[in-house]
Amino acid sequence: MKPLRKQGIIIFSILALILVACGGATEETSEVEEVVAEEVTETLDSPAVTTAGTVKTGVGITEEACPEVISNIPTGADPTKGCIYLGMLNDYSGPFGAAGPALDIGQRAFWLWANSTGGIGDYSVAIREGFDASYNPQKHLEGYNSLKDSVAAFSMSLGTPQTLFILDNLNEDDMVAVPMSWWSGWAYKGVDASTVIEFGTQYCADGMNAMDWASANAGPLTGGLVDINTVGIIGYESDYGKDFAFGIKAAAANAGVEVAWEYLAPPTEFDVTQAVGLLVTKPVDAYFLATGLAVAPQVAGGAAQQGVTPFAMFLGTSYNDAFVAEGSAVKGLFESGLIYAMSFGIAPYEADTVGHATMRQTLGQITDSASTFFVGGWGSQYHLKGVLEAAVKGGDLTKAGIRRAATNVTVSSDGMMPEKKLGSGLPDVASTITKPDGSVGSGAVVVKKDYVGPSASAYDWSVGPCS
Amino acid sequence: MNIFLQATFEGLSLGAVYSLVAIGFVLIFRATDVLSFAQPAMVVVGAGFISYFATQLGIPFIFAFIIGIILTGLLGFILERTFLRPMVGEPVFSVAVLTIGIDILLRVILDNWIGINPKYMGDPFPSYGNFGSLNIGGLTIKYLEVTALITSLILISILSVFFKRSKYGVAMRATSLDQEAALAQGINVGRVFGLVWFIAGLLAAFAGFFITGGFNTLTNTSFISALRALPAVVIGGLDSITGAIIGSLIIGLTQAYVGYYQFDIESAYNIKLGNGFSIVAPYLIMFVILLVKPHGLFGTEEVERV
Repeated sequence: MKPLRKQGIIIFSILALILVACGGATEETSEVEEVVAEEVTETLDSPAVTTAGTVKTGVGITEEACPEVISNIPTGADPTKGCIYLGMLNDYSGPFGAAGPALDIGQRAFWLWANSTGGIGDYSVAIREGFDASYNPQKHLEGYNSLKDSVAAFSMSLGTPQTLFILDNLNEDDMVAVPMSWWSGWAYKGVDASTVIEFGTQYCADGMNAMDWASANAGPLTGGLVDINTVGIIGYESDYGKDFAFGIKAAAANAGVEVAWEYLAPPTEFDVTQAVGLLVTKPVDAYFLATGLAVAPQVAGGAAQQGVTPFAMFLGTSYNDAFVAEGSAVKGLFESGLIYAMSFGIAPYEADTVGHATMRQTLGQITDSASTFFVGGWGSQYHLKGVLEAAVKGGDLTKAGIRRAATNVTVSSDGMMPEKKLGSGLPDVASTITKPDGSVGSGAVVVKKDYVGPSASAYDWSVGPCS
Repeated sequence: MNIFLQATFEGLSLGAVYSLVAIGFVLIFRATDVLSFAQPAMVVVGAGFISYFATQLGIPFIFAFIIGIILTGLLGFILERTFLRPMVGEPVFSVAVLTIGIDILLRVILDNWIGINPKYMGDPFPSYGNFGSLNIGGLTIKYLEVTALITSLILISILSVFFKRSKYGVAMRATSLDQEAALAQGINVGRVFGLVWFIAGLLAAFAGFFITGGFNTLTNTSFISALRALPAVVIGGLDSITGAIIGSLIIGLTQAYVGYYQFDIESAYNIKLGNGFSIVAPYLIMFVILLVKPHGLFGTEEVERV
């Protein structure tokens, strides 16, 4: 190729890029500007609920009814109502690929129920086909870009690093998303500019509550055999591992308990031999574990093989009903009364709340599993539903309107989670503590629901994320 | 002393399991000049077969184990016949990339089957003694690890005899030395390739069971353990079975010693090596060995005419 021709192509490409960058604004962007211009007196802190008579709509809202079925699950949509479309950034492959389908079903089942019981004003809600982000931030962004112009909000953005990766885009596009993670940062406007509609107990508070609850209860539960003075922390060096460890250390300092050692390694570098070695060579009264499912039974079982069975509390990410299913090699160990687990953001399937009962009734028509991922999928939509209802009451179902509603609205979940004021900067700190039990479908019975220990109560949550 | 013995025992057991994966790598490389990246997937697929037959079909574990091993071997054979055979004569790089594709294909299918919950092998080891272990003089001997160690020794011995004494073993050695010369001598090289993949599949399934047996469980991240055999192969030399075994033991022992002693060393010398160092340490050893012996400890030095 001749140099001049080459230069011409380069100059043309640069010009084209500049043109695209300058002139590529989407329809929605201009709409957002329009909304902001109309309501200049409002800020992100303004009350969302007004008494507007008509509802302004935007991208992702249609006057046509929602499809009857999406992803082989009925939407329950009212054919006489319009449709609010949601996007889903889920994982159907990759490290959390196994959880994706259950989360997907859980969310769709929730809207099946919500649509069947009235929907959102004059609208039903439907989640478009989920995008497989494979726990890959780049793919996550790709999925976001492919869906953002056809949805009003995202029902799911799976993973903390992935959601952080698209945070600027959410902010620029006035889009809200429900995170499928419980990082301590989601409660703060300073972090997510109210684009993330968090739900459930965050990992950091779970850490504090685990430590406080273990300190107070290990002795009575073990007939006085365990008195917690020293603890060890094992986990992945990840959002949940670091958050959980922070919480444990804060509560340990509060309770005068010594953290003898801490082993946090990236998931690909986590060494079971080392974790077991620490438990064996540097004995502690209790250990707290925040890993994935693969290594959790190896650590507990490996230590038990060497005669070391301290009191233990597992983060929700580290516990699964398969551990106590018939035929499980670690069933006896996990049901020994020495290991307890925090719930996965929300109390497990069998919990006694109105929300859980509704969920069981609806999900029972779709699956016979009591997996915690169904609960996560279902429960994650309550706060979004509250936000959409507030947006409808406010007369503004545009993305900007939905976002504004998410900044200052009190949402409830039929008892599944404590009532919450979104955008308040105060995270959910009430934990559910469970005991492994293979006789129930979820593999865990609730020992204490909505537990807030002295550390989480006294902690100054206004300082920002734990990790 | 007990800690040292414990770490040594665990390191040897880990090394023994790695060696089963590593030998599979070496066998395929020697016969075809291709480093098969599908080997870690074969490891977990083997475990998947065993788990499926034992826990889902309810077949007694020993039969499930045998069926799983044979099926994985057959899968290796079929993969060679269907995917690899048409690639004979193509650049080695292309074939290596193809094995990456096979690895992804197998793991995607397996991950779909594994689903949400970890899978168990249905083996009886955890029910023996104290959660599957026996204490002798303060040293904890785990039944699964002892079995892994003994099985590896037996398999390596059988392979050694097979290569030296059997007709096909000699044919495999001849093929690995010079494919064209082997063809000229009447050796059915295609059949040898198939046999190599069959044996690599068998070994992968054995390793798969020992990696996921007992408390370990089969999940969609189990293949990472099999990947740790890769530095072992590089340390030992890509074309040396002895090297693969020695390299695996080096990896296993390094991992175990660092795992057990890292925190003491850090405290004693007031240094911080970082969590996860026990997994990184074998790669550092690999790096040092490659600096001194670029073809690995037992690898054949290649001389190419320019």
